[in-house]
Amino acid sequence: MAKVFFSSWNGVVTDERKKALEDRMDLEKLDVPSKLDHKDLKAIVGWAGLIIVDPEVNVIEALKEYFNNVQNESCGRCIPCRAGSKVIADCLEALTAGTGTEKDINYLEEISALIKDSSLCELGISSPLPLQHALKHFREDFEAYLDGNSHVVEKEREYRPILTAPCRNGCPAHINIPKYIECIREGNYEEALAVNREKTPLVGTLGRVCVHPCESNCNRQPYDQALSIRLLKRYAADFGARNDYDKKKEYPKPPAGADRVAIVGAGPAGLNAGYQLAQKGYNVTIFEALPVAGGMLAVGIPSYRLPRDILNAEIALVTGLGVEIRYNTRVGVDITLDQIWEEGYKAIFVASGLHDSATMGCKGEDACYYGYMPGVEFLRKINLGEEVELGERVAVIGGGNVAMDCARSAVRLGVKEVHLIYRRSRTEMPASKAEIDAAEEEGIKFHLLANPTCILEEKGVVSGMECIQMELGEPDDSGRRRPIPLDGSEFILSADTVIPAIGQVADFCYLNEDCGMELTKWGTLAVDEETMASDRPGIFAGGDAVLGARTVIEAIASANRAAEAIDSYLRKGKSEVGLQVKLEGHIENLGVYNENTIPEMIGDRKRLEEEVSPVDERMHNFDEAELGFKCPSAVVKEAERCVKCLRLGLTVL
Amino acid sequence: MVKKTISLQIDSKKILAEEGTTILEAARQNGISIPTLCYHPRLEPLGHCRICIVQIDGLERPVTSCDNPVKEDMIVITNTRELQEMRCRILELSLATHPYKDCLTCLRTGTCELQESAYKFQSDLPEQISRDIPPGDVSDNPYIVRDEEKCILCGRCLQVCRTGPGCFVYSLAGNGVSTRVIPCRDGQEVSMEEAGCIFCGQCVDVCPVAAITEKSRGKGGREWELSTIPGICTECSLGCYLERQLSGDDMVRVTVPSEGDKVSWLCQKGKFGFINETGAVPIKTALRLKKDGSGYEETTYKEAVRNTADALLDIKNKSGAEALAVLGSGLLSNEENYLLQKLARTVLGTANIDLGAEPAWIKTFLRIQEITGTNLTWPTPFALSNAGAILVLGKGLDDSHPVAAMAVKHAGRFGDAVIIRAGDPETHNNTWQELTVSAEKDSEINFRKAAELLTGKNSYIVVGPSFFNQAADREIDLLLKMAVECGLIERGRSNLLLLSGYSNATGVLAAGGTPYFAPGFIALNGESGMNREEILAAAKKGKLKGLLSFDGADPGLDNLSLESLVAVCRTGDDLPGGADIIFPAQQIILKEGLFTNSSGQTRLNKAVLRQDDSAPQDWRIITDLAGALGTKWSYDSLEDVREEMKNLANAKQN
Repeated sequence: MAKVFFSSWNGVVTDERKKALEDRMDLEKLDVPSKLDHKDLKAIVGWAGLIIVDPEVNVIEALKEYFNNVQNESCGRCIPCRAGSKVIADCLEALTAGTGTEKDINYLEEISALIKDSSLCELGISSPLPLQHALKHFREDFEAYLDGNSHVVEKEREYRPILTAPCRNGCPAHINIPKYIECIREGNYEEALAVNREKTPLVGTLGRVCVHPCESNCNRQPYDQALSIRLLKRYAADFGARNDYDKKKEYPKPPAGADRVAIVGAGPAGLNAGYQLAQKGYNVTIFEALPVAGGMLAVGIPSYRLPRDILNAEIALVTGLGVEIRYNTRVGVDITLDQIWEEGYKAIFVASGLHDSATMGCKGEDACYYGYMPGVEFLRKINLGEEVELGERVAVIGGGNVAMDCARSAVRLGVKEVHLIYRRSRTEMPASKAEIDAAEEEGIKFHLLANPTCILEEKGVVSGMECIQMELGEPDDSGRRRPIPLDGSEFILSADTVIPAIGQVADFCYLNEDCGMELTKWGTLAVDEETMASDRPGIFAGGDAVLGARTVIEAIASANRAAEAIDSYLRKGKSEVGLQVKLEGHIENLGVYNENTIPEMIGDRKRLEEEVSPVDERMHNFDEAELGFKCPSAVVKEAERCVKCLRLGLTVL
Repeated sequence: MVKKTISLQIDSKKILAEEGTTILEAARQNGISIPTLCYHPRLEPLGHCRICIVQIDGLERPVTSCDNPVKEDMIVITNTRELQEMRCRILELSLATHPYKDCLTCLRTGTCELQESAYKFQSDLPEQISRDIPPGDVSDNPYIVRDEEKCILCGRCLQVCRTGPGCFVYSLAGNGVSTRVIPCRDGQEVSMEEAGCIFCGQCVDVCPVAAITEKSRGKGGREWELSTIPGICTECSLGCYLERQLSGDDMVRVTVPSEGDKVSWLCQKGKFGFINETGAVPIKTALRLKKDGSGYEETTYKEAVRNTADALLDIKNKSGAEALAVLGSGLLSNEENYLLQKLARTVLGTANIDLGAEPAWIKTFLRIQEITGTNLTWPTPFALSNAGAILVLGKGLDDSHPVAAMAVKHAGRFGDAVIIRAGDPETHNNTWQELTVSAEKDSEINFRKAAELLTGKNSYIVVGPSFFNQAADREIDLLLKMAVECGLIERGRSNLLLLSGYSNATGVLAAGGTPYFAPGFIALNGESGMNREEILAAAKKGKLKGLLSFDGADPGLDNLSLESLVAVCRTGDDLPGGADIIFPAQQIILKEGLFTNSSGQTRLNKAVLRQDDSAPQDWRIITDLAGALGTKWSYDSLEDVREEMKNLANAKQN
């Protein structure tokens, strides 16, 4: 059990130095994993202070290493950080070499204050903090060097630096957000696009549909509003598209004899894995059951949210790299996993998603009444251009984005009365606020705190639902308050079409007992959460099939990890992700956004809002409803609000 | 949109400022000075040096004043002991990474902004911090020299290259004190040219130290000893203002004036045109064709004048004045154009005079003036930065009028502008394109679409020379109809930037240098003569017998079967085949005269040196020819010519 020797992290000082080992605080109380890359964590020197686990860690040496890394990461724009961090590093070097003086220690105090108070970005502002803490709590360690000896024989230490930011850390894929916002600020929209493309080809897509956890981690929130990070990303993608960014580039294809990797499902996870693996030099084939690629992007999200030309251009990027997509090929039916191995593929990435509808636990939902259509099926049909017959009163059940998609699509198909039934209240609705507001604007009637108990029919045709009112009780596992039915509050909602959109489940027909893959208790594929490797060697999995019904960006993140692990498996026989990914995972646990480390700034700078098509124009068609940013000068101004909260962390192993 | 007025306090002074003003600007507007280093009045604030930090009431840490907008009831303190202390320290850190011992021999001494800051702060000399920077000058092109060791990483060159020409030549490489500013392409360090540099020289103009300098500056001379002569560029019809600087008699630099528009630009032609890259030898004396026709031999100026006059008179007597013609050049000033048309019309008696303006351009110009009146503002390229929409008609602006192309690019990437291009998209450095309109096919439909995008915004139309070369009356009608409907032309204002392919076209037109109009826009109608195209065609057919051209480099002058061709040439490369007499052209840097640019601004180009008496000034050639042809004009100086032109203009008004 790892113990805290000393911590000053996030404004709380825990000084256990005088205590016996067994009396010290447990490290896990700080949300810090005790191992990184199978090695014991000895200390962390970072933007929020010091965490020392091993008493034998030489704090001065660690700080010297820290400031060498600050200097390495210092972009060079501002004088205090670029010169100041060098001065500190040199000073600590002199100290540990035995040539330092008392004056030098005092100088460290002064220069720390200068850098902290005058640097351009958080890297400069936050980096002196651990030094200031050390000068306060470990002064004797500094003074020990003044006798002219470079004593304290240093053990072999491994130092692992990581540059992060709250937004970047909040992004599941850890896209370099501060960098691309800086590029936009400088008018270099093409470079901003390139930064995003390091992680994914689906930039315009994410710019439209990402749930942007980055924005909830933005340090501007206490002062005014988060940066409009998603829409800035969209602007970079749209700018590139308008100016033929991809037409001007050459994308090399993998060599002919390269190892082959098979992917099940051309959704965001499958496409992203293919994108990364092709660039690593593998011949990738994606087996896709549907006649189109994109997964839920193509057959779930309606085109008024994600125009098909945007999506298709990004899919074309992937195939342009040499990735083959075999359409109308359902694994388990048209080809089995065994056959895939027989064809000579060296690894398989399973990303088949969740395309079946979850059941509501409501009487009559299995009876196949005419007019009962699961939301997933409804959206798939309209997205594939198939005939859909809706009545005049449509009831959609659910509160997530899929339910909004169903309701708003029904409006666009001309249905006069669209009702939405959700068992919790508006604040608990998982759908984005913009979607909920737009749905209301489009005339959809919300019935909150209500749940259907029975589907009513007449001669096998849906005629309505019996519903019951709910009230909110204690929070459940998800942290949201549990809905409890109110006895005697039953009511009838008449409807001729019922569309449940309360969740999705997988269809794992292609997995037989011999395939070696396990399911979790939630019915998703069980894999290592870092490498995405299953128990069966060579088979990896990601996306919704592993995570449950989650988001596009999480699917992309899982695919990127899997691609690294597959590459490592094929080259070295061991499924491993790179050090950067491991560090990112480590820091995710530690957390970066924290109210103790919000930088000071002048607030009241309003966030830029996008243009939205007027409701009477957008309601009658599937043209894009949200129009993004149009005006470059406003976009640059929005990017200028970014405070650039770069933080450096150094783990000592 | 009306901007709010913000009230705040700076150093106990209550002040008002428009919403969006930065603290630094608001302070300066009210006579409060805050020290800066990386700030440049022509650029958006960078916030890099941190010297301009001020204290805000309620905030613990100081903030930069250059890039923070004012807020209602903000209380700012610009000068405390702590702030001064911090600024001093920061500057010392910058000095620590700059080879200040080089100040002793540095060319920038006297105007170096780092040196100036060190003086203001009375800085101590800090110990130098070692940097991993390659020593020595980098000189991979004829124009710009870079010394990375002197760079203080202010960031201005990076920014001006992004926002001016939009070339994004520079990138930051490395980290910390060893960060370098280098020309980059696809992440690789390359030469300036390979990185896409068009040598507009703006990075040189904004560099605060001697990290980026003109190669020509290397000739020497102390900054405070340089003489600065204001002038105008004659390389294209934009006629950008510039300043020429000499060390003694040597031209060492051309730069933009420090006053005037917030954003002033030059292009390669304007900034570095005076550098003779090809080594072409200038013509110093008059020349005449050798008897055997095998080349040219020197003759005296007097003889050349005499022979020219004789030849032209001879043709006039034998074949009539209509067998004579006069062509001009963009290097001729308004006064010279006036005199030359006077020579042609009143002395030679010919109406065949074209000193440089396309017929379609003339038509468009004058038809707009019919609506606006003669007292109007034409747009400058910099006005385009605030445009809501810009329609660009014509191709190849990057080459013909680079500064206009830069302004359009800037508007598309950093402004609010929707850019509509007619014709093919430009081949490099695209900006935000809303629509590409083909001027050839379905003109009317496309003009309608463009009109929708132009209406209701602060819109402009930029018309380039390729449009004027192809446009018939129909296209001009469509253009003007659309412009009027969209509200771009009204009394006193035109939002059309008409870019003639001829330098000083506006000056030519006003001075009567076109075959259609006498000075003061007086239409000649039935008495108009042939334009350049017609003149050259007539010469080829043998209908025209004698031609006096002030632009010897005009490729149209080759292979004409004329009895007499007299040309004025700049260099040995300009000599047309078969000319009888060659006069040496006056260099623009030695010419004093008025020029009028596409924005309707007339500016005096001052001579940087007194002309050597052995070489005649252009205007003297004209008056001497008049004299040799029997008409003595009594102009003592150009001022007399200007007087006459002014009197004519006043007479017309009355």
